[in-house]
Amino acid sequence: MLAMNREPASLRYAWMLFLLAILGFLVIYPVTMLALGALSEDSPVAGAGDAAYSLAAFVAVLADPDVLRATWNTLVVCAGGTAAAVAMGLFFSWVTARTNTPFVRVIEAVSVMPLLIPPLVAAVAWSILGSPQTGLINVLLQGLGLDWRVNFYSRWGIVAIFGIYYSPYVYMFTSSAMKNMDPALEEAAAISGVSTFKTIFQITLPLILPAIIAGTMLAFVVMLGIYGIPAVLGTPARVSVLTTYIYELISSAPPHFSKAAATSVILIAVTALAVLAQQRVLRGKSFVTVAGKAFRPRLIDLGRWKYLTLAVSAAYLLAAVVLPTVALLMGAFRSFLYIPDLAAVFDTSMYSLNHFRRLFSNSLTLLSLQNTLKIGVITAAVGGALSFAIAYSVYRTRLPLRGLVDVVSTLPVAIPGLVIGVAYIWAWINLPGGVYGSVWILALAFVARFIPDTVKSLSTSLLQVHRELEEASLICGRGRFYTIRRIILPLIAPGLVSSMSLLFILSIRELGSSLFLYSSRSLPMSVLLVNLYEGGDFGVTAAFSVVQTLILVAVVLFTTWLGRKTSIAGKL
Amino acid sequence: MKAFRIVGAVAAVLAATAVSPLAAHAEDAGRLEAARKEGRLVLYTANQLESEQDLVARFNKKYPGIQVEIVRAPGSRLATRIQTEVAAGKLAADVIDMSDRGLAADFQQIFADYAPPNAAQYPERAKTLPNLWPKTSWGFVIAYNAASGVKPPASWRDLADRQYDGKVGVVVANSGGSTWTRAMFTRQVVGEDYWKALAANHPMLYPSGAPAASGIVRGEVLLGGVQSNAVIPMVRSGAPLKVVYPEEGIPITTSVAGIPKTSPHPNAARVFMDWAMSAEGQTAWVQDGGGFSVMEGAPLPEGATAATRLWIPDPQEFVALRGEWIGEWNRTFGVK
Repeated sequence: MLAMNREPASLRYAWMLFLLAILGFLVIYPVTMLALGALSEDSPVAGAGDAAYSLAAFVAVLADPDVLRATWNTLVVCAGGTAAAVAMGLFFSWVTARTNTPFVRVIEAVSVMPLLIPPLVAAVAWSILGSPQTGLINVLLQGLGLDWRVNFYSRWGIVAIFGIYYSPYVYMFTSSAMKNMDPALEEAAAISGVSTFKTIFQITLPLILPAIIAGTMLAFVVMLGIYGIPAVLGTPARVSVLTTYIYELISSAPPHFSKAAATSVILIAVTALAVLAQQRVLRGKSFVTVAGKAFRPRLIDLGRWKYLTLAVSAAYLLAAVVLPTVALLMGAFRSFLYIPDLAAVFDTSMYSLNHFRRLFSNSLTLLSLQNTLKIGVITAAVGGALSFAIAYSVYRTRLPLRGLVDVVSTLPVAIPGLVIGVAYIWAWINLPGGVYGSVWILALAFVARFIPDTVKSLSTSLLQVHRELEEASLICGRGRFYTIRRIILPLIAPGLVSSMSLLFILSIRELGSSLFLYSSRSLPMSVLLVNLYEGGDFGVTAAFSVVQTLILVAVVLFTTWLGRKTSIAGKL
Repeated sequence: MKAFRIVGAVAAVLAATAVSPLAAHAEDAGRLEAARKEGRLVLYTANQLESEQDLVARFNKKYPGIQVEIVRAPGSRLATRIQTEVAAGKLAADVIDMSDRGLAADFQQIFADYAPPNAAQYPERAKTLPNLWPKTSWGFVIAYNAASGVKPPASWRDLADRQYDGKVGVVVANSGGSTWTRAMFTRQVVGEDYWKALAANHPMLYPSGAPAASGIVRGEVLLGGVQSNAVIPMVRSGAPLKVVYPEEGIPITTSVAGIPKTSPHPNAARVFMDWAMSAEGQTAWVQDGGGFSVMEGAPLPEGATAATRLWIPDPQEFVALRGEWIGEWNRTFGVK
């Protein structure tokens, strides 16, 4: 308590205002350009100054039955997808962090793999797998003599794929929370004779509630903004969601920016509400699980049930990772994907390295790889530092204006990538020094865009460290920076590493905001991928997806190793 | 004396007429030299990336010292980008090739005075905007999966035939300038009732050309209208597809390409445009890329015959009817 008042009020306000200024430039300024775009007919850059502002676009959007239908579809698939993601994410966190299920390390590694596949690629892989007559799953079922068929071109298909691809978000938050939990509370329950089942629902889950809520909210809000999966799986079934609707508006000739911006503002409002709800639920509750004592995480012995959990994990991994990877590999190595029956799969004459040859003979491939790695490193470093500063100020201090910083830093999540891409070019095209047109503006856009993900991810680690650890340091006379450097950072090192690697992965995958900001020399891999896809050469697209996935796997392996090395528990 | 003067006059006249082509030649050589010094140009294009790269490779065979860097985006996104860059004074393009004439009209004032040497060989319909030229022409053909044994169609009307119920793939009309041209063509030329008839055949809808072509190859649908430059290269590399040039004709969308006034490499830009618009450039696009050309005397892609008719939309109608007809198309096909 005493330690909190060490800094003079002016310094505390100055720091928070500094953070708000940065956030203002990165978030508020582009969102304002978006709002201006929603209110006027001309683009804010071209028509600045003499535009006629009106609410016409908002009125048109709210009264449009297509928007209502798209909104309803959006809520249904996102709510369903989030429920599925939370169920799967929690299940896997619990299995890997608290039970003695065999092959835990493998399950751990593979359960974040869906994150490594860009949404467009995932959607394409699943359309190959789940297409009504000729999807590979149906070919397999037919080959096995079964009568059952799947059709992923439906709302349920979208819900299932959302659940699979966003459960890693929930998993990453809840598993690190579970791992860092002092088992003393669970042990007390066990000693008192409480059953395993009750312990999970009355002690374990409530204690990691902030992680669950953070993961749920983030998964839901991110799903609101995804375009690729509903576009590929929803269009054949005539299911439209807000993002596909917005994309139509922007892609039509002439583009209807005001309506698109107005629709996006609605998405932003929903996000703001979700963040406020989260703040209210978590207020005043303590979720401290990392205190001053050393501990070893307690594993529950499942007995024979561990084979069941292993089987369920294996089934999930098959669906989430193995099948789409097989689909991609087939697309990459097989000359053409015409597979009339199961026997045709094994026709070896159809397989070759042609697509890879064509990919690497394209001079843009290597250029895009170099650019993406550069951008990824800059984003992870700058974004990691900034997000840590924000997360620490919001979650570990009683500095003023924390709530405002929290809301502002979460806003970018709900804005679909394509729309925020337009907002960024409107906002930053006039930056001096040749920033526009270089890799730096892409890094800037990604830092801005992924603040919410990184801050939320860091927040769960930070919320678990007990105040007494910091207070002990401050009382002994050490300053705030020393405390952060020697106490907080080492304790949350695995969380920090995993947040920065999340940022790196997200920047490699990011498409929507790159589309308007790249130049011929700063071409990133995601844009090259979509250009190859739109050119119709599916084989080369699949081959490039395989290359990108391998790079991401390498990054994840490296950072997992790094996380383990820096973990304090690992040093005990 | 008099003879001398006459000879002198004749000689002077001969010299004068000889100087103009020589002067032009000298000017060309001068421009080429300047282009080589510039060494590069940036091309903003709405054409498919690999198709444009193949064209550039051909260009570089003739002009190896001029590197072409490509920024590729579909029509609307490209237009947004160009307009924003122009407003901020940061347009990096030396050559712009837009697929949507209507969008380009909004910023036609940014283009420099330019005409290729063979400008007269292009039809009036494709030259409606000053200083902008039909460098790339895309045409819709019908592709069908030959390995599946489906009966080959011969016309657009055939796609609405009951035997193809549930087997036809259709790209949504609002996917871009070329799909709008196709929709306009099928209503104006094939028949007013055609959209309803085709919709009644339960076609599978695709958000853009690439998944449609891929869908036909995979057998997800067995036939459909696709851009020729998407499928002809696939046929060449052994895909189980065949191309049909329907009886009613081929709807053609012509691009508009020009050189901005602010181009940082104006000489290289002109050398590139001159080449792309020449017989050599247009032939490369048709024969390598499988595209179409509206130049007089241009070849047709493989499989087409003299009977194949190219249809270019009326420029006024292209803009005027678009909003209303796309809305009707969406309602007819149940696009929400």
